[in-house]
Amino acid sequence: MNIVEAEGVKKYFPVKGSILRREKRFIKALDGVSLSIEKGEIYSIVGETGSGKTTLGRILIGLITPTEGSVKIDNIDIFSIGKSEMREIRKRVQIIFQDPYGSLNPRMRIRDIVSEPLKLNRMEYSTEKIARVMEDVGLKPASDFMDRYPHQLSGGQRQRVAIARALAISPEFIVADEPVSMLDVSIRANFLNMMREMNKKYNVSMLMITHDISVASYIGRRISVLYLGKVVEQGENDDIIKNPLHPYTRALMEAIATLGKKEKELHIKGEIPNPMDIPKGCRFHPRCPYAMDICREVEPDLVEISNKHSVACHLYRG
Amino acid sequence: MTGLSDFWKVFKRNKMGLTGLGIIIFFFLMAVLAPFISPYNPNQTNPNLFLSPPSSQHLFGTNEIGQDLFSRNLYGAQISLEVGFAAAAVTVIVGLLIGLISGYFGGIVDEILMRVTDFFLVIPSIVFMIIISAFLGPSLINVILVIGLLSWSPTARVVRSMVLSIREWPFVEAARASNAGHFYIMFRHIMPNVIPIVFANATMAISNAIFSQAALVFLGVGDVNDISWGQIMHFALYSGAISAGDWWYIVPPGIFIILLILGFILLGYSLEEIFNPRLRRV
Repeated sequence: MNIVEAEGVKKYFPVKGSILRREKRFIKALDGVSLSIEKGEIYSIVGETGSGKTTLGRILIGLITPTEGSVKIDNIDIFSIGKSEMREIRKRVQIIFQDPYGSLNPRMRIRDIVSEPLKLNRMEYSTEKIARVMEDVGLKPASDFMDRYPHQLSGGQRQRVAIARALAISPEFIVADEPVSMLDVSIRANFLNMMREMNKKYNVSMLMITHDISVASYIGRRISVLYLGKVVEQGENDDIIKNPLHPYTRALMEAIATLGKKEKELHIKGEIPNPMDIPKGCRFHPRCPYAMDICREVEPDLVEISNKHSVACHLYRG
Repeated sequence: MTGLSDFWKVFKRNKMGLTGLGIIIFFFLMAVLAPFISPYNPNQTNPNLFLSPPSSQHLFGTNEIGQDLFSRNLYGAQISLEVGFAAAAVTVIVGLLIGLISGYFGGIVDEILMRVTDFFLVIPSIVFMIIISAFLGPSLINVILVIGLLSWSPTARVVRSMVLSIREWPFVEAARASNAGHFYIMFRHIMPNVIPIVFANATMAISNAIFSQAALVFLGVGDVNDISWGQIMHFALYSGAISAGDWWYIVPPGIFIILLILGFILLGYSLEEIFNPRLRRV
Protein backbone atom coordinates (compact mmCIF):
# COMPACT_ATOMS: atom_id res chain seq x y z
CA MET A 1 0.00 0.00 0.00
CA ASN A 2 1.29 3.42 -0.91
CA ILE A 3 0.65 6.50 1.16
CA VAL A 4 1.98 8.84 -1.52
CA GLU A 5 1.95 8.42 -5.26
CA ALA A 6 3.37 11.15 -7.44
CA GLU A 7 2.99 10.84 -11.20
CA GLY A 8 4.88 12.98 -13.71
CA VAL A 9 5.09 15.99 -11.40
CA LYS A 10 6.33 19.15 -13.12
CA LYS A 11 6.73 22.58 -11.65
CA TYR A 12 7.70 25.53 -13.81
CA PHE A 13 8.10 28.88 -12.11
CA PRO A 14 7.53 31.73 -14.56
CA VAL A 15 10.30 34.30 -14.74
CA LYS A 16 9.33 37.88 -15.38
CA GLY A 17 10.76 38.90 -18.73
CA SER A 18 11.93 42.39 -19.52
CA ILE A 19 9.72 44.71 -21.56
CA LEU A 20 11.75 44.07 -24.70
CA ARG A 21 11.76 40.29 -24.43
CA ARG A 22 8.17 39.19 -24.39
CA GLU A 23 8.76 35.44 -24.59
CA LYS A 24 7.94 33.78 -21.33
CA ARG A 25 10.74 31.97 -19.60
CA PHE A 26 10.49 29.39 -16.89
CA ILE A 27 12.60 27.94 -14.15
CA LYS A 28 12.00 24.25 -14.51
CA ALA A 29 12.28 23.24 -10.89
CA LEU A 30 10.74 19.82 -11.49
CA ASP A 31 10.52 18.24 -14.89
CA GLY A 32 8.51 15.07 -14.55
CA VAL A 33 9.10 13.21 -11.32
CA SER A 34 7.30 10.04 -10.34
CA LEU A 35 7.69 8.20 -7.10
CA SER A 36 5.65 6.27 -4.62
CA ILE A 37 6.13 5.98 -0.90
CA GLU A 38 4.84 2.94 0.92
CA LYS A 39 3.01 3.17 4.19
CA GLY A 40 5.43 3.15 7.07
CA GLU A 41 8.47 3.64 4.87
CA ILE A 42 11.24 6.23 5.07
CA TYR A 43 12.05 7.35 1.56
CA SER A 44 15.12 9.47 0.81
CA ILE A 45 15.57 12.03 -1.89
CA VAL A 46 19.11 13.19 -2.63
CA GLY A 47 20.02 16.18 -4.69
CA GLU A 48 22.11 19.31 -4.83
CA THR A 49 20.83 22.82 -4.39
CA GLY A 50 18.62 23.57 -7.37
CA SER A 51 17.68 19.96 -8.01
CA GLY A 52 14.07 20.69 -7.07
CA LYS A 53 13.99 18.50 -3.99
CA THR A 54 12.46 21.14 -1.73
CA THR A 55 9.82 22.00 -4.33
CA LEU A 56 8.96 18.31 -4.58
CA GLY A 57 8.51 18.06 -0.81
CA ARG A 58 6.17 21.06 -0.79
CA ILE A 59 4.14 19.65 -3.65
CA LEU A 60 3.76 16.24 -2.03
CA ILE A 61 1.91 17.76 0.92
CA GLY A 62 -0.04 20.23 -1.17
CA LEU A 63 1.68 23.47 -0.17
CA ILE A 64 2.51 24.21 -3.81
CA THR A 65 0.42 23.28 -6.84
CA PRO A 66 2.34 21.51 -9.59
CA THR A 67 2.26 22.75 -13.18
CA GLU A 68 1.53 19.24 -14.37
CA GLY A 69 1.18 15.79 -12.91
CA SER A 70 -0.75 14.38 -10.01
CA VAL A 71 -0.14 13.59 -6.38
CA LYS A 72 -2.22 11.07 -4.53
CA ILE A 73 -2.25 10.75 -0.79
CA ASP A 74 -3.91 7.55 0.26
CA ASN A 75 -5.43 7.37 -3.24
CA ILE A 76 -6.94 10.85 -3.05
CA ASP A 77 -5.73 13.15 -5.80
CA ILE A 78 -4.95 16.20 -3.69
CA PHE A 79 -4.95 18.71 -6.54
CA SER A 80 -8.40 17.87 -7.84
CA ILE A 81 -10.29 18.12 -4.56
CA GLY A 82 -12.05 21.02 -2.91
CA LYS A 83 -10.90 23.20 -0.07
CA SER A 84 -12.68 21.34 2.69
CA GLU A 85 -11.29 18.00 1.50
CA MET A 86 -7.83 19.56 1.37
CA ARG A 87 -8.26 20.60 4.97
CA GLU A 88 -8.88 16.95 5.82
CA ILE A 89 -5.73 15.92 3.93
CA ARG A 90 -3.69 18.50 5.83
CA LYS A 91 -4.64 16.75 9.05
CA ARG A 92 -2.78 13.71 7.80
CA VAL A 93 0.48 15.26 6.57
CA GLN A 94 3.14 17.43 8.17
CA ILE A 95 6.46 19.04 7.32
CA ILE A 96 9.75 19.67 9.12
CA PHE A 97 12.01 22.42 7.86
CA GLN A 98 15.73 22.75 7.50
CA ASP A 99 16.20 25.84 9.63
CA PRO A 100 15.54 25.10 13.30
CA TYR A 101 15.70 28.82 14.05
CA GLY A 102 13.19 30.02 11.51
CA SER A 103 10.69 27.22 11.83
CA LEU A 104 9.60 28.09 15.37
CA ASN A 105 7.88 31.39 16.10
CA PRO A 106 10.23 33.21 18.51
CA ARG A 107 7.27 34.66 20.39
CA MET A 108 5.50 31.43 21.19
CA ARG A 109 6.17 29.09 24.05
CA ILE A 110 7.15 25.55 23.23
CA ARG A 111 3.81 24.25 24.56
CA ASP A 112 1.93 26.54 22.17
CA ILE A 113 4.14 25.62 19.25
CA VAL A 114 3.68 21.89 19.74
CA SER A 115 -0.07 22.14 20.35
CA GLU A 116 -0.72 24.50 17.45
CA PRO A 117 -1.47 21.88 14.77
CA LEU A 118 -3.91 20.21 17.17
CA LYS A 119 -5.71 23.46 17.88
CA LEU A 120 -5.78 24.53 14.25
CA ASN A 121 -7.22 21.20 13.21
CA ARG A 122 -9.70 21.24 16.08
CA MET A 123 -8.28 18.07 17.52
CA GLU A 124 -8.34 17.25 21.15
CA TYR A 125 -5.28 18.40 23.03
CA SER A 126 -4.04 18.29 26.56
CA THR A 127 -0.82 19.03 28.36
CA GLU A 128 -0.30 15.30 28.91
CA LYS A 129 -0.65 14.58 25.21
CA ILE A 130 1.86 17.29 24.30
CA ALA A 131 4.23 16.17 27.05
CA ARG A 132 4.11 12.60 25.75
CA VAL A 133 5.09 13.66 22.22
CA MET A 134 7.85 15.89 23.54
CA GLU A 135 9.33 13.12 25.63
CA ASP A 136 9.10 10.74 22.69
CA VAL A 137 11.33 13.01 20.63
CA GLY A 138 13.82 13.33 23.47
CA LEU A 139 12.78 16.55 25.19
CA LYS A 140 12.88 15.08 28.69
CA PRO A 141 11.42 15.98 31.06
CA ALA A 142 8.84 17.81 29.00
CA SER A 143 7.93 20.10 31.88
CA ASP A 144 11.40 21.66 31.61
CA PHE A 145 10.70 22.77 28.06
CA MET A 146 6.98 23.53 28.02
CA ASP A 147 7.16 27.17 29.05
CA ARG A 148 10.39 28.08 27.38
CA TYR A 149 10.82 30.15 24.28
CA PRO A 150 12.67 28.85 21.22
CA HIS A 151 15.65 31.14 21.76
CA GLN A 152 16.32 29.38 25.06
CA LEU A 153 16.87 26.06 23.29
CA SER A 154 19.79 24.68 21.29
CA GLY A 155 19.55 23.96 17.58
CA GLY A 156 19.09 20.24 18.16
CA GLN A 157 16.40 20.83 20.77
CA ARG A 158 14.56 23.19 18.48
CA GLN A 159 14.57 20.64 15.71
CA ARG A 160 13.13 18.12 18.16
CA VAL A 161 10.39 20.61 18.93
CA ALA A 162 9.70 20.85 15.20
CA ILE A 163 9.35 17.07 15.05
CA ALA A 164 7.13 17.03 18.13
CA ARG A 165 4.91 19.60 16.44
CA ALA A 166 4.73 17.46 13.32
CA LEU A 167 3.97 14.29 15.29
CA ALA A 168 1.37 15.85 17.59
CA ILE A 169 -1.51 15.28 15.19
CA SER A 170 -0.30 11.69 14.52
CA PRO A 171 0.09 12.27 10.79
CA GLU A 172 0.46 9.49 8.26
CA PHE A 173 3.14 11.22 6.25
CA ILE A 174 5.89 13.69 7.14
CA VAL A 175 8.15 15.56 4.74
CA ALA A 176 11.48 16.25 6.42
CA ASP A 177 13.28 18.91 4.40
CA GLU A 178 16.96 18.65 5.28
CA PRO A 179 16.23 18.30 9.00
CA VAL A 180 19.83 17.65 10.00
CA SER A 181 21.82 19.82 7.63
CA MET A 182 21.96 22.71 10.08
CA LEU A 183 22.73 20.55 13.10
CA ASP A 184 26.19 19.80 14.44
CA VAL A 185 27.67 16.70 12.87
CA SER A 186 28.05 15.19 16.33
CA ILE A 187 24.32 15.06 16.96
CA ARG A 188 23.14 14.12 13.49
CA ALA A 189 23.26 10.35 13.88
CA ASN A 190 21.48 10.58 17.20
CA PHE A 191 18.82 12.72 15.61
CA LEU A 192 18.35 10.39 12.66
CA ASN A 193 18.00 7.44 15.05
CA MET A 194 15.28 9.32 16.88
CA MET A 195 13.47 9.93 13.60
CA ARG A 196 13.68 6.24 12.81
CA GLU A 197 12.20 5.42 16.21
CA MET A 198 9.35 7.84 15.63
CA ASN A 199 8.77 6.31 12.22
CA LYS A 200 8.14 2.96 13.96
CA LYS A 201 6.36 4.24 17.02
CA TYR A 202 3.93 6.54 15.25
CA ASN A 203 3.74 4.38 12.15
CA VAL A 204 4.33 7.44 10.01
CA SER A 205 5.81 7.41 6.54
CA MET A 206 8.57 9.92 5.94
CA LEU A 207 10.22 11.58 3.02
CA MET A 208 13.76 12.52 3.94
CA ILE A 209 15.03 15.30 1.70
CA THR A 210 18.80 15.73 1.86
CA HIS A 211 21.82 16.78 -0.14
CA ASP A 212 23.96 14.28 1.72
CA ILE A 213 23.82 10.77 0.29
CA SER A 214 25.21 9.36 3.54
CA VAL A 215 22.19 10.73 5.42
CA ALA A 216 19.91 9.31 2.73
CA SER A 217 21.47 5.87 2.96
CA TYR A 218 21.53 5.92 6.76
CA ILE A 219 17.80 6.38 7.08
CA GLY A 220 16.10 5.64 3.78
CA ARG A 221 14.75 2.26 2.73
CA ARG A 222 14.59 3.48 -0.82
CA ILE A 223 16.40 6.38 -2.46
CA SER A 224 15.76 8.65 -5.42
CA VAL A 225 18.58 10.75 -6.78
CA LEU A 226 17.35 14.01 -8.21
CA TYR A 227 19.28 16.11 -10.71
CA LEU A 228 17.90 19.34 -12.21
CA GLY A 229 14.31 18.37 -11.61
CA LYS A 230 14.53 14.78 -12.82
CA VAL A 231 15.12 11.47 -11.13
CA VAL A 232 18.36 10.05 -12.48
CA GLU A 233 18.48 6.94 -10.31
CA GLN A 234 15.95 5.24 -8.11
CA GLY A 235 16.05 2.03 -6.13
CA GLU A 236 16.50 0.18 -2.88
CA ASN A 237 19.02 1.68 -0.49
CA ASP A 238 21.47 -1.23 -0.78
CA ASP A 239 21.42 -1.26 -4.55
CA ILE A 240 22.06 2.44 -4.81
CA ILE A 241 24.82 2.53 -2.22
CA LYS A 242 26.63 -0.69 -3.12
CA ASN A 243 26.09 -0.45 -6.82
CA PRO A 244 25.55 3.13 -7.91
CA LEU A 245 24.98 3.19 -11.66
CA HIS A 246 24.52 6.77 -12.71
CA PRO A 247 27.78 8.76 -12.94
CA TYR A 248 26.15 11.46 -10.83
CA THR A 249 25.26 9.04 -8.04
CA ARG A 250 28.78 7.67 -8.17
CA ALA A 251 30.17 11.17 -7.86
CA LEU A 252 27.93 11.79 -4.85
CA MET A 253 29.22 8.59 -3.27
CA GLU A 254 32.80 9.68 -3.87
CA ALA A 255 32.05 12.98 -2.20
CA ILE A 256 31.31 11.34 1.14
CA ALA A 257 34.11 12.29 3.48
CA THR A 258 36.10 9.21 4.43
CA LEU A 259 39.32 8.71 6.34
CA GLY A 260 42.36 7.57 4.42
CA LYS A 261 43.05 7.70 0.75
CA LYS A 262 40.39 6.94 -1.75
CA GLU A 263 41.18 4.23 -4.24
CA LYS A 264 39.48 5.75 -7.22
CA GLU A 265 38.12 9.20 -7.48
CA LEU A 266 35.46 10.38 -9.81
CA HIS A 267 35.27 14.07 -10.20
CA ILE A 268 32.48 15.93 -11.85
CA LYS A 269 33.13 19.28 -13.36
CA GLY A 270 31.48 22.54 -12.58
CA GLU A 271 28.21 23.26 -10.86
CA ILE A 272 24.60 22.41 -11.41
CA PRO A 273 23.42 24.42 -14.47
CA ASN A 274 20.83 27.17 -14.28
CA PRO A 275 17.39 25.52 -14.28
CA MET A 276 16.29 28.16 -16.79
CA ASP A 277 18.72 26.78 -19.36
CA ILE A 278 18.56 23.04 -19.03
CA PRO A 279 21.14 21.38 -21.30
CA LYS A 280 19.85 19.60 -24.37
CA GLY A 281 19.98 15.81 -24.33
CA CYS A 282 20.95 14.30 -21.01
CA ARG A 283 20.83 17.15 -18.52
CA PHE A 284 23.95 15.83 -16.81
CA HIS A 285 26.13 15.57 -19.91
CA PRO A 286 28.12 18.83 -19.50
CA ARG A 287 29.47 17.55 -16.21
CA CYS A 288 29.65 13.87 -17.02
CA PRO A 289 33.08 12.25 -17.47
CA TYR A 290 31.52 9.54 -19.67
CA ALA A 291 29.50 11.79 -21.95
CA MET A 292 29.00 10.30 -25.41
CA ASP A 293 27.59 11.80 -28.59
CA ILE A 294 24.13 10.47 -27.92
CA CYS A 295 24.10 12.14 -24.51
CA ARG A 296 24.26 15.54 -26.15
CA GLU A 297 21.23 14.82 -28.30
CA VAL A 298 18.82 12.41 -26.64
CA GLU A 299 17.47 12.61 -23.14
CA PRO A 300 17.65 9.17 -21.49
CA ASP A 301 14.53 7.72 -19.87
CA LEU A 302 14.43 6.18 -16.46
CA VAL A 303 14.79 2.46 -17.20
CA GLU A 304 14.62 -0.42 -14.77
CA ILE A 305 17.97 -2.21 -14.91
CA SER A 306 17.50 -4.86 -12.28
CA ASN A 307 14.87 -5.53 -9.65
CA LYS A 308 13.38 -2.10 -8.85
CA HIS A 309 16.68 -0.38 -9.60
CA SER A 310 16.20 2.24 -12.30
CA VAL A 311 18.63 4.62 -13.90
CA ALA A 312 18.39 7.30 -16.55
CA CYS A 313 21.67 6.98 -18.40
CA HIS A 314 22.70 5.96 -21.91
CA LEU A 315 25.57 3.89 -20.50
CA TYR A 316 23.04 1.24 -19.50
CA ARG A 317 20.98 1.09 -22.64
CA GLY A 318 19.69 -2.35 -23.67
CA MET B 1 6.87 36.82 29.60
CA THR B 2 4.66 34.83 31.89
CA GLY B 3 3.14 37.67 33.84
CA LEU B 4 3.33 41.11 35.23
CA SER B 5 5.67 40.13 38.04
CA ASP B 6 8.17 38.68 35.58
CA PHE B 7 7.93 41.77 33.49
CA TRP B 8 8.60 43.95 36.51
CA LYS B 9 11.59 41.84 37.50
CA VAL B 10 13.24 42.61 34.18
CA PHE B 11 11.99 46.16 33.95
CA LYS B 12 13.21 47.30 37.34
CA ARG B 13 16.80 46.68 36.30
CA ASN B 14 16.43 48.95 33.32
CA LYS B 15 17.56 52.41 34.42
CA MET B 16 16.53 54.12 31.21
CA GLY B 17 13.03 52.67 31.41
CA LEU B 18 12.68 53.53 35.07
CA THR B 19 13.68 57.12 34.41
CA GLY B 20 11.15 57.38 31.60
CA LEU B 21 8.44 55.78 33.68
CA GLY B 22 9.29 58.09 36.58
CA ILE B 23 8.89 61.15 34.39
CA ILE B 24 5.58 59.89 33.00
CA ILE B 25 4.25 59.02 36.46
CA PHE B 26 5.27 62.48 37.65
CA PHE B 27 3.21 64.16 34.94
CA PHE B 28 0.40 61.66 35.32
CA LEU B 29 0.15 62.53 39.01
CA MET B 30 0.33 66.18 38.11
CA ALA B 31 -2.65 65.76 35.78
CA VAL B 32 -4.73 63.71 38.24
CA LEU B 33 -3.93 65.78 41.30
CA ALA B 34 -4.14 69.18 39.62
CA PRO B 35 -7.57 70.01 41.15
CA PHE B 36 -6.28 69.18 44.64
CA ILE B 37 -2.82 70.68 44.68
CA SER B 38 -3.34 73.82 42.65
CA PRO B 39 -2.96 76.80 44.94
CA TYR B 40 -5.47 78.82 42.87
CA ASN B 41 -8.37 78.24 40.54
CA PRO B 42 -6.56 78.33 37.17
CA ASN B 43 -9.23 80.55 35.65
CA GLN B 44 -9.40 83.00 38.51
CA THR B 45 -8.07 86.39 37.44
CA ASN B 46 -6.43 88.94 39.65
CA PRO B 47 -6.59 92.47 38.21
CA ASN B 48 -3.85 93.67 40.52
CA LEU B 49 -1.23 91.17 39.43
CA PHE B 50 -0.53 91.30 35.68
CA LEU B 51 2.55 89.47 34.50
CA SER B 52 4.18 89.34 37.87
CA PRO B 53 7.45 87.37 38.04
CA PRO B 54 7.68 84.19 40.13
CA SER B 55 7.24 84.79 43.84
CA SER B 56 6.38 82.78 46.93
CA GLN B 57 2.70 83.55 46.23
CA HIS B 58 2.80 82.63 42.56
CA LEU B 59 5.56 80.07 41.97
CA PHE B 60 5.52 80.47 38.19
CA GLY B 61 4.34 84.06 38.21
CA THR B 62 1.09 85.26 36.63
CA ASN B 63 -0.11 85.97 33.11
CA GLU B 64 -1.46 89.07 31.46
CA ILE B 65 -4.85 88.77 33.16
CA GLY B 66 -3.39 87.82 36.50
CA GLN B 67 -4.07 84.06 36.44
CA ASP B 68 -1.72 81.86 38.45
CA LEU B 69 0.60 80.19 35.94
CA PHE B 70 1.65 77.44 38.34
CA SER B 71 -1.94 76.24 38.60
CA ARG B 72 -2.46 76.53 34.86
CA ASN B 73 0.69 74.52 34.14
CA LEU B 74 -0.51 71.76 36.49
CA TYR B 75 -3.85 71.57 34.68
CA GLY B 76 -2.07 71.67 31.33
CA ALA B 77 -0.71 68.17 31.87
CA GLN B 78 -4.23 66.76 31.58
CA ILE B 79 -4.78 67.73 27.96
CA SER B 80 -1.29 66.77 26.84
CA LEU B 81 -1.60 63.25 28.25
CA GLU B 82 -5.17 62.75 27.01
CA VAL B 83 -4.33 63.82 23.48
CA GLY B 84 -1.02 61.98 23.55
CA PHE B 85 -2.49 58.60 24.46
CA ALA B 86 -5.69 58.86 22.43
CA ALA B 87 -4.03 60.09 19.25
CA ALA B 88 -1.23 57.54 19.57
CA ALA B 89 -3.80 54.78 19.95
CA VAL B 90 -5.44 55.85 16.70
CA THR B 91 -2.03 56.09 15.00
CA VAL B 92 -0.85 52.68 16.14
CA ILE B 93 -4.07 50.80 15.40
CA VAL B 94 -4.42 52.25 11.91
CA GLY B 95 -0.70 51.91 11.14
CA LEU B 96 -0.54 48.34 12.43
CA LEU B 97 -3.60 47.17 10.49
CA ILE B 98 -2.57 48.82 7.24
CA GLY B 99 1.01 47.55 7.56
CA LEU B 100 -0.13 44.01 8.34
CA ILE B 101 -2.65 43.78 5.51
CA SER B 102 -0.37 45.45 3.01
CA GLY B 103 2.66 43.33 3.81
CA TYR B 104 0.82 40.06 4.20
CA PHE B 105 -1.39 40.10 1.12
CA GLY B 106 1.00 41.96 -1.18
CA GLY B 107 0.07 42.50 -4.81
CA ILE B 108 -2.61 45.02 -5.72
CA VAL B 109 -3.75 45.45 -2.09
CA ASP B 110 -0.21 46.42 -1.16
CA GLU B 111 0.09 48.78 -4.13
CA ILE B 112 -3.06 50.70 -3.23
CA LEU B 113 -2.40 50.89 0.51
CA MET B 114 1.20 51.96 0.04
CA ARG B 115 0.32 54.74 -2.40
CA VAL B 116 -2.14 56.05 0.20
CA THR B 117 0.58 55.74 2.84
CA ASP B 118 3.05 57.58 0.63
CA PHE B 119 0.54 60.39 0.25
CA PHE B 120 0.27 60.82 4.01
CA LEU B 121 4.01 60.45 4.35
CA VAL B 122 4.93 63.26 1.98
CA ILE B 123 2.32 65.85 2.88
CA PRO B 124 3.60 68.22 5.57
CA SER B 125 1.35 66.94 8.32
CA ILE B 126 1.34 70.00 10.55
CA VAL B 127 0.08 72.12 7.65
CA PHE B 128 -2.56 69.53 6.84
CA MET B 129 -3.54 69.37 10.49
CA ILE B 130 -4.02 73.13 10.59
CA ILE B 131 -6.23 73.07 7.51
CA ILE B 132 -8.36 70.15 8.66
CA SER B 133 -8.66 71.43 12.22
CA ALA B 134 -9.79 74.77 10.86
CA PHE B 135 -12.53 73.00 8.91
CA LEU B 136 -13.62 70.64 11.65
CA GLY B 137 -13.63 73.23 14.36
CA PRO B 138 -11.77 73.25 17.62
CA SER B 139 -12.86 70.32 19.74
CA LEU B 140 -10.60 67.96 21.63
CA ILE B 141 -11.87 64.88 19.83
CA ASN B 142 -11.23 66.54 16.47
CA VAL B 143 -7.66 67.34 17.45
CA ILE B 144 -7.14 63.72 18.54
CA LEU B 145 -8.56 62.32 15.30
CA VAL B 146 -6.68 64.75 13.09
CA ILE B 147 -3.36 64.02 14.77
CA GLY B 148 -4.01 60.25 14.90
CA LEU B 149 -5.21 59.88 11.34
CA LEU B 150 -2.40 61.94 9.89
CA SER B 151 0.46 60.25 11.72
CA TRP B 152 0.06 56.53 11.03
CA SER B 153 2.05 56.32 7.81
CA PRO B 154 5.55 55.79 9.31
CA THR B 155 4.14 53.02 11.52
CA ALA B 156 2.43 51.39 8.54
CA ARG B 157 5.64 51.53 6.50
CA VAL B 158 7.77 49.99 9.24
CA VAL B 159 5.21 47.29 10.02
CA ARG B 160 4.82 46.41 6.34
CA SER B 161 8.55 46.00 5.82
CA MET B 162 8.77 43.71 8.83
CA VAL B 163 5.77 41.69 7.70
CA LEU B 164 7.37 41.23 4.28
CA SER B 165 10.26 39.39 5.88
CA ILE B 166 8.35 37.60 8.64
CA ARG B 167 5.76 36.08 6.29
CA GLU B 168 8.56 34.21 4.50
CA TRP B 169 9.75 32.47 7.66
CA PRO B 170 9.25 28.72 7.82
CA PHE B 171 7.03 28.94 10.90
CA VAL B 172 4.44 30.69 8.76
CA GLU B 173 4.58 27.89 6.22
CA ALA B 174 4.35 25.36 9.04
CA ALA B 175 1.16 27.03 10.26
CA ARG B 176 -0.21 27.04 6.73
CA ALA B 177 0.56 23.33 6.45
CA SER B 178 -1.61 22.88 9.55
CA ASN B 179 -4.63 24.58 8.03
CA ALA B 180 -4.04 28.04 9.50
CA GLY B 181 -6.07 30.80 7.83
CA HIS B 182 -4.85 34.21 6.73
CA PHE B 183 -6.16 36.03 9.77
CA TYR B 184 -4.77 33.48 12.18
CA ILE B 185 -1.33 33.79 10.60
CA MET B 186 -1.52 37.57 10.52
CA PHE B 187 -2.57 38.04 14.11
CA ARG B 188 -1.11 35.03 15.88
CA HIS B 189 2.20 34.62 14.07
CA ILE B 190 3.14 37.87 12.41
CA MET B 191 1.67 40.53 14.70
CA PRO B 192 3.48 39.43 17.89
CA ASN B 193 6.75 39.72 15.99
CA VAL B 194 6.13 43.32 14.94
CA ILE B 195 4.80 44.44 18.35
CA PRO B 196 8.23 45.54 19.66
CA ILE B 197 8.66 47.86 16.73
CA VAL B 198 5.09 49.05 17.17
CA PHE B 199 5.86 49.82 20.80
CA ALA B 200 8.80 51.94 19.78
CA ASN B 201 6.54 53.61 17.26
CA ALA B 202 3.77 54.07 19.79
CA THR B 203 6.00 56.06 22.11
CA MET B 204 7.15 58.11 19.16
CA ALA B 205 3.51 58.59 18.27
CA ILE B 206 2.66 59.74 21.79
CA SER B 207 5.53 62.23 21.77
CA ASN B 208 4.53 63.33 18.31
CA ALA B 209 0.90 63.77 19.36
CA ILE B 210 1.83 65.78 22.45
CA PHE B 211 4.04 67.97 20.34
CA SER B 212 1.50 68.36 17.53
CA GLN B 213 -1.28 69.27 19.92
CA ALA B 214 0.91 71.88 21.59
CA ALA B 215 1.93 73.22 18.19
CA LEU B 216 -1.65 73.41 16.92
CA VAL B 217 -2.87 75.23 19.98
CA PHE B 218 0.18 77.47 20.00
CA LEU B 219 -0.62 78.46 16.43
CA GLY B 220 -4.17 79.22 17.45
CA VAL B 221 -5.84 76.21 15.82
CA GLY B 222 -7.61 73.93 18.24
CA ASP B 223 -9.37 74.87 21.39
CA VAL B 224 -7.73 77.81 23.10
CA ASN B 225 -10.23 77.58 25.94
CA ASP B 226 -8.91 74.27 27.23
CA ILE B 227 -5.95 74.81 29.49
CA SER B 228 -2.92 73.17 27.94
CA TRP B 229 0.78 73.87 27.71
CA GLY B 230 0.42 74.83 24.09
CA GLN B 231 -2.34 77.25 25.05
CA ILE B 232 -0.17 78.89 27.74
CA MET B 233 2.57 79.36 25.17
CA HIS B 234 0.03 80.66 22.67
CA PHE B 235 -1.06 83.42 25.00
CA ALA B 236 2.50 84.08 26.04
CA LEU B 237 3.25 84.95 22.45
CA TYR B 238 0.08 86.83 21.61
CA SER B 239 0.02 88.87 24.78
CA GLY B 240 3.43 90.19 23.90
CA ALA B 241 4.87 88.74 27.10
CA ILE B 242 7.66 86.98 25.25
CA SER B 243 8.88 90.11 23.50
CA ALA B 244 8.72 91.87 26.84
CA GLY B 245 11.10 89.27 28.25
CA ASP B 246 8.65 87.63 30.67
CA TRP B 247 10.42 84.28 30.55
CA TRP B 248 8.37 82.67 33.35
CA TYR B 249 5.35 82.68 31.09
CA ILE B 250 6.82 80.44 28.38
CA VAL B 251 9.72 78.51 29.92
CA PRO B 252 7.82 76.15 32.29
CA PRO B 253 5.32 74.78 29.69
CA GLY B 254 8.19 74.39 27.22
CA ILE B 255 10.24 72.39 29.69
CA PHE B 256 7.23 70.28 30.64
CA ILE B 257 6.54 69.37 27.02
CA ILE B 258 10.16 68.42 26.41
CA LEU B 259 10.39 66.41 29.62
CA LEU B 260 7.19 64.49 28.97
CA ILE B 261 8.27 63.66 25.42
CA LEU B 262 11.65 62.53 26.73
CA GLY B 263 9.91 60.30 29.28
CA PHE B 264 7.99 58.48 26.55
CA ILE B 265 11.07 58.05 24.41
CA LEU B 266 13.07 56.55 27.27
CA LEU B 267 10.21 54.22 28.16
CA GLY B 268 9.83 53.25 24.53
CA TYR B 269 13.42 52.18 24.12
CA SER B 270 13.38 50.11 27.26
CA LEU B 271 10.06 48.43 26.38
CA GLU B 272 11.43 47.44 23.03
CA GLU B 273 14.40 45.89 24.75
CA ILE B 274 12.18 43.92 27.11
CA PHE B 275 9.44 42.77 24.76
CA ASN B 276 11.88 41.53 22.18
CA PRO B 277 13.35 38.40 23.79
CA ARG B 278 16.39 38.49 21.56
CA LEU B 279 17.39 41.92 22.81
CA ARG B 280 16.85 41.05 26.44
CA ARG B 281 19.93 40.76 28.57
CA VAL B 282 19.35 37.66 30.65
